[in-house]
Amino acid sequence: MQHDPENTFFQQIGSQTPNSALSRRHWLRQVSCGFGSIGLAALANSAPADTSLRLPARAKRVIFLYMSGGPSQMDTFDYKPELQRFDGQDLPFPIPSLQKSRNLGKLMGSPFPFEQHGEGGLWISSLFPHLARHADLLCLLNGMHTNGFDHGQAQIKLSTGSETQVRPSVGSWILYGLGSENRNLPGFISVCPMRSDRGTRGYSNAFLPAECQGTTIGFEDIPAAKATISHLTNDQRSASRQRRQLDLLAEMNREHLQQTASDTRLEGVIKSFELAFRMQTETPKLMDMSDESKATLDLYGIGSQPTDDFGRQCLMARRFAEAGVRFIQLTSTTRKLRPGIADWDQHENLKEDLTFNAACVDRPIAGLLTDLRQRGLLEDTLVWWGGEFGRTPVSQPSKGASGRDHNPSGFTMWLAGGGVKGGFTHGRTDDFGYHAVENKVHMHDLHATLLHLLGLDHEKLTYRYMGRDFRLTDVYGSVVEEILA
Amino acid sequence: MMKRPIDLFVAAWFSVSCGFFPSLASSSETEGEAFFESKVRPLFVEHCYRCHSSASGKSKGGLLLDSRATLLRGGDAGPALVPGAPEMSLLIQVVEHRDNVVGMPPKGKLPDEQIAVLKSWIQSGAAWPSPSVTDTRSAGVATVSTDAHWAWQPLRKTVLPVVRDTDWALTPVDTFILEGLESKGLQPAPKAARHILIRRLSFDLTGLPPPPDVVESFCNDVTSDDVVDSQIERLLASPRFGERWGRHWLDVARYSDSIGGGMNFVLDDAWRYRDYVTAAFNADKPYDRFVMEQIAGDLLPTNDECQRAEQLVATGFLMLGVNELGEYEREKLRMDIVDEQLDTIGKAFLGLTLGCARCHDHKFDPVPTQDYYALAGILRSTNPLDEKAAGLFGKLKRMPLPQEPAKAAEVAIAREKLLRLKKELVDTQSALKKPDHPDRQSAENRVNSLQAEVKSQQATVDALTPMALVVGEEAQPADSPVFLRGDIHNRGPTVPRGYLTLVQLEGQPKLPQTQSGRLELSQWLTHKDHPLLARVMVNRVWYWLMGTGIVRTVDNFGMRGEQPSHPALLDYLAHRLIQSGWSVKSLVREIVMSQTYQQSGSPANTTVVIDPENRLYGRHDRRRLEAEEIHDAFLAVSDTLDETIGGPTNTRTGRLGSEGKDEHVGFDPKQRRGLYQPIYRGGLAPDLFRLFDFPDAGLVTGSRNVTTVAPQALFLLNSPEILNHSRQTADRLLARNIDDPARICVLYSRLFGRAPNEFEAQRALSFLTQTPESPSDAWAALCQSLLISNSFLFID
Repeated sequence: MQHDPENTFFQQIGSQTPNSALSRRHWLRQVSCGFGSIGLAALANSAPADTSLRLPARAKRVIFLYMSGGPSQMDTFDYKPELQRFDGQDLPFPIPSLQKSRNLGKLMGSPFPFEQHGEGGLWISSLFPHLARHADLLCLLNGMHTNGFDHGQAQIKLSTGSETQVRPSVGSWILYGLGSENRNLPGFISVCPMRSDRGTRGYSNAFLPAECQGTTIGFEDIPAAKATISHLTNDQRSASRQRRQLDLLAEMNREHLQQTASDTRLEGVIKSFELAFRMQTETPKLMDMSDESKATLDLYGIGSQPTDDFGRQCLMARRFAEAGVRFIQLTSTTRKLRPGIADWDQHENLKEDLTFNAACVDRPIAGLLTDLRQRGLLEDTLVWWGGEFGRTPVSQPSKGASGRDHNPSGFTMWLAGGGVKGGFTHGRTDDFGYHAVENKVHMHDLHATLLHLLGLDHEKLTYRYMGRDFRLTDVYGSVVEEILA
Repeated sequence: MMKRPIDLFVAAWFSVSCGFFPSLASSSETEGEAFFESKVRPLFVEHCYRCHSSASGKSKGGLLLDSRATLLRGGDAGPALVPGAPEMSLLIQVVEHRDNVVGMPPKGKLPDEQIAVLKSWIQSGAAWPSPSVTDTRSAGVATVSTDAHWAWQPLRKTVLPVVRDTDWALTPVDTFILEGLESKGLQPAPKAARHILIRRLSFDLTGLPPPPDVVESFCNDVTSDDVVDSQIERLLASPRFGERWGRHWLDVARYSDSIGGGMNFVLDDAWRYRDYVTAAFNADKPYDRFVMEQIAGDLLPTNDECQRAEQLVATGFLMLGVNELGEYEREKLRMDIVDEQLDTIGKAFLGLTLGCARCHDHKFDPVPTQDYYALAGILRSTNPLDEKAAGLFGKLKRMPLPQEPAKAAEVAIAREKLLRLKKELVDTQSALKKPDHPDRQSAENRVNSLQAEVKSQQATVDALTPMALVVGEEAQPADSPVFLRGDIHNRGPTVPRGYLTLVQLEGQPKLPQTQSGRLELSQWLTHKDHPLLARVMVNRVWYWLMGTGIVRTVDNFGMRGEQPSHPALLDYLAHRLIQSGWSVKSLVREIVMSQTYQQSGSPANTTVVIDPENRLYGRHDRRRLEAEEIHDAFLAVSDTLDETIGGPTNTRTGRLGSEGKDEHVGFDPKQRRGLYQPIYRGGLAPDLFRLFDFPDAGLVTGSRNVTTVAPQALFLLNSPEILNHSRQTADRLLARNIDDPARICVLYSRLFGRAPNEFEAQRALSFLTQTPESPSDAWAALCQSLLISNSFLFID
């Protein structure tokens, strides 16, 4: 095995929580019962090391609302009166050289009016009327920037911190750092992720232990109502017959084990079958929303269009958050709802398509925030919204000048809940929204901040692979202190 | 809510800045120094010291702003300060966020007034009060010598050690192992039982369970030891050997059938490289030759078209990495590809993490950035891209393979026919454009049929013209500049192409001006005195057979890798590999013939206590079947394995995961061996592969992880795939005209290579009878239980 048992973060955590209620032994017992955590227990045999790794945590889990394609900041959360004023005129500074080949055109004002909301006076466009009511929960990061002019690089950057190499995903790092809170569930769930490589990088563990891999529920082209974990059911055999079969299996495996000296792997396999059998009953209960009230379903827009799909994803997220899942990623791809739409990638037809996209997610996200808050979960749940990059303030004549091109040098993401300031705007782009210019937050900085909020120091959360200690933030990133509550 | 970080942070920085003010009140303070203290230092403290001060412990980009001296020396990008010349000072260029430099501070440009302060400070000579804080970099930190590291020493001549027990050892391997055991007062484990040994050999050498007739003959012939040897020879000669061992190499070569990344295109021809590798292991191609062909097959001399085609295909090795073809910036794409190639070459052949040296000197191994770019120049002078491809995105180069003359003539005829058809089509269409066409109807019909004929003839020509991923040479080979911090906009000095200074070999080839230098690189890699190539490979082979490497970090022989448990054995095996003409099969034979390999998994109790990790090899480590072995074994025992060797197996083409852009080819290789299941990057591997630790096809993987997670159990219990295998196995048993006890015997011997004992037979019978299910259902459930049991999924 590649990983170095002397240097696993797990046992370091397990050994060094003097302030927490969990003793090392207790902690190990918890994880060793957890979903897919048999391997972790095996990893955690050797002597503990560093004891200074954990910071006070502000959040226990993350819900990432991923808007695939790159939502336009100038039309959503980054109000640019100058852009409106100079609509149709030339950009007064040169377009970045790498984008010139795309034949970019004149400044394009936003078709959507903005208003200020909440005590913090956050500027939010008319696309998000429901979310705007929660303005005082939102922490807008208007000065985001990242690397990669195309979806591939930028999305992989967002997901792993590297735009080229194969690295573990954010969720995998978090699960690696914190372990799971629930013994019968995966600690990292990705609902309806994209099927492409850049999508799967979003839940890939790369070289981290397989236990850190995200579990998928459905895929981008599957309606959320039909999304499920694979191999959870067996249509050929009833539960009681399967129980008989499992008993036989367990007996044979124990005999096999007795023939040799003790072997933790063989014992692990035996336990994994018992856990699998339990999961078969537990997980469907969690996915089954029939115990939710009509009011709750309405809150999320479930049962109405076009909110049903993302509403279900959001409600799943709340249920998983309640059950102790560490990292939950939802993916908004709208082409499954309306063929021909390019998800959040509005090179053309921006006015109409962005209106539709926002309508799909506005109410569900507002519902999720309301519900999390009502249940006291928002205190320690960090909600994170955004896409892989933003868009240009200029239009794209090659596409009928009705949309905007990719733009990694300035865009908006937002956070809410678990330890961040609400009703707060941080960072600024230039007068037209092209480049982040003030209080810039690079994707690495955001990653560092997410880990910080979860009580992990991004410079110390490392994994030894091929002789080197890897980090989510590589050699970059600093915590955005200004946004911490 | 807790109130924390900001206050703490400010406090911390305040104390830091106090520490920096030793001479604030000094009377000897000049005007320039006063300006520095009042305007410049506060600015450094506020905006820069977090990343560039000894107090913060950080010197990003190698730069410290602690003193005038550290500024003058500068960081990786060169001196930061030219006193009196703000325009020439890098410090000013970066704070002004000029093109081609990394703008600082990264969070945003400083206000113009502050930039003006810096300029005026530099203009007036950049005064700095002394004494300044200590420059940690000159504080006499001893450089740890890495020269003595074992892995870069020449191979040592080894002498067989003396052992007390003179009976046990049959081969030199055994003598080395026995010496280690005896030194701890331990004894080797007894020899494994026959049925265990045949199962182990069969899976290890061919990746398949032993056929039933072999199990029978092997178990019956209890008298002769020759039977083990003859089985080994049978397995080594089987074409299944190359399939199993080729797959090992494909892990190292991060083989995939799609390129991955944002533009996840299917590599339609990658399978040719896969088949090349399989054939190489079957033919026992000398390993040094195998290495040379993968690096420089296109540049090596050849005897005929067939050999030329083979060698061209081998260079696919350089093209199979995850590369982001969506990168707009061509030079960045090229250097990213070079980086991927260097990283792979380093890990695969040398056990070195060369990729680390792209941005800075390797932190642990003696690989300076200069060396990285010396090698990068060679690969940058090599071109894997199709320069004729239109559009923003990169495209890998494909080229038609040379063919034998007879075949070439056939292609020429087909191509000629295609041209004829195309011409007739064009002529007929243009004739139709004339207003006075005599027979419009029949001409239109002819156009339709011609279009169909052109299409089918094109397909014929394509089928006759094998294509492969082949690298090419740049027209103008050139040395590469060092790109500071790996950033292509940040050019440093140009370094001549060359090899690693770490390994200086006598008579190593000189690099030519007119070629990339890949040929010479391949000669340097395979030089008879190269300390790493043979060691790394024999260690891989040992790992693939014994379950742990003599060096456990099989892809890292550097300072951060582990020490070898048996250095003399490693060097002995390396010598043997070279002496045998780099024959991998001979090496495999030598290891599996040893008593060491043939030990049982159950040693004396003391062995486990004293050597829990089995570093001394005093027993055989049990291993779980790998994903492909599970796939193959299920097919084999249900008699549904399609044994076809090689050929195209892609089920898709085009760009994957992007709606409307990928096409299913309509070909289903599911009954073929695991090796032939298409491996598309992007989580598209079959569930079984994904769950059972099939490696990420983007990473060089010398040793696979072995994890145990609940989703594996769910898959084994509930997946249609396993349910089908179980049912097919059951149906075949039920179709045989024998009674249930006999069926149970057949099942046990097929699965476990032995007959059931009385208790097991009775238990299986009662499982079948105490159920209201149909016999078919009951048998399917029984078969599944046995198939997913540890006795089947593990090799003892």
